[in-house]
Amino acid sequence: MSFEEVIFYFITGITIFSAIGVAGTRNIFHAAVYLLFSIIGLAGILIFLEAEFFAFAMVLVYVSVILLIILFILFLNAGSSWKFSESTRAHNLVGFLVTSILITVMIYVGTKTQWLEPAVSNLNSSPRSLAEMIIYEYVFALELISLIFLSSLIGAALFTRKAH
Amino acid sequence: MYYLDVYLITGLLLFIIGIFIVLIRRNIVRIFMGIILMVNGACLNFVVFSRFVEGGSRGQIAALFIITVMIAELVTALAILVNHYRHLQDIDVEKANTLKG
Repeated sequence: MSFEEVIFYFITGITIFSAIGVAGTRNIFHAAVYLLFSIIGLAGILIFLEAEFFAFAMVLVYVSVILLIILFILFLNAGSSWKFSESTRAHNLVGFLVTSILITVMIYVGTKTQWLEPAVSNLNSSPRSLAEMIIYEYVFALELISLIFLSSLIGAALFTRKAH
Repeated sequence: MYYLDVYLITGLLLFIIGIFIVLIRRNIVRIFMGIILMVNGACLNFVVFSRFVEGGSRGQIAALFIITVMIAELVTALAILVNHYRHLQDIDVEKANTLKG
């Protein structure tokens, strides 16, 4: 294995094990920190995929999201004093069942599909080319998403108003 | 690096772990984390296929749009969480069985 492969598998392992940590740990603050590590590992994978701009944008966005979540945890004091309703045996059974069925179906589909030979596309993922593509081809989607974003912000401000 | 299968398995595992968290956990904040993991797995698939299929970097643009919509959804969900907490003094999803405002 070359040095590059060792780095790649290390980063992939960090991503997966941090995701498992989010699922497994009891302390929700620890779960937020695990989520941060998972996001950073995913950004590393994206850099291996030559999507540098997307990796940077993702780290920026998700670091703010995780800070927001940690803030909510602290303000709601969600770690310590809450007694959550018992996760019953039926809930756990349904969770395991659905995930195992899903993973079986996906592995079946993935192995049965006749994959084409992966052709490495000569993609140009510089911020300039991405911006040109957004402005020239996806400008309607861009405007639509800005509208969605604006309406969700206004809706959040309306929702969280002090009730009279 | 030409590990199409490794990338796909990584995305699949992230998605599965996210669904597992959403199904099993009772804490709303933890469920948000599961949703974030699911969206990350889906985005990774978009970027991987835009790398390995001819046609430029359109997958990255799709993934950027996905992340934007996910953030909008998260903002709305956190607003609902604040309201839920204000009414019930709790963030357990099992007790969120009323939509009365």
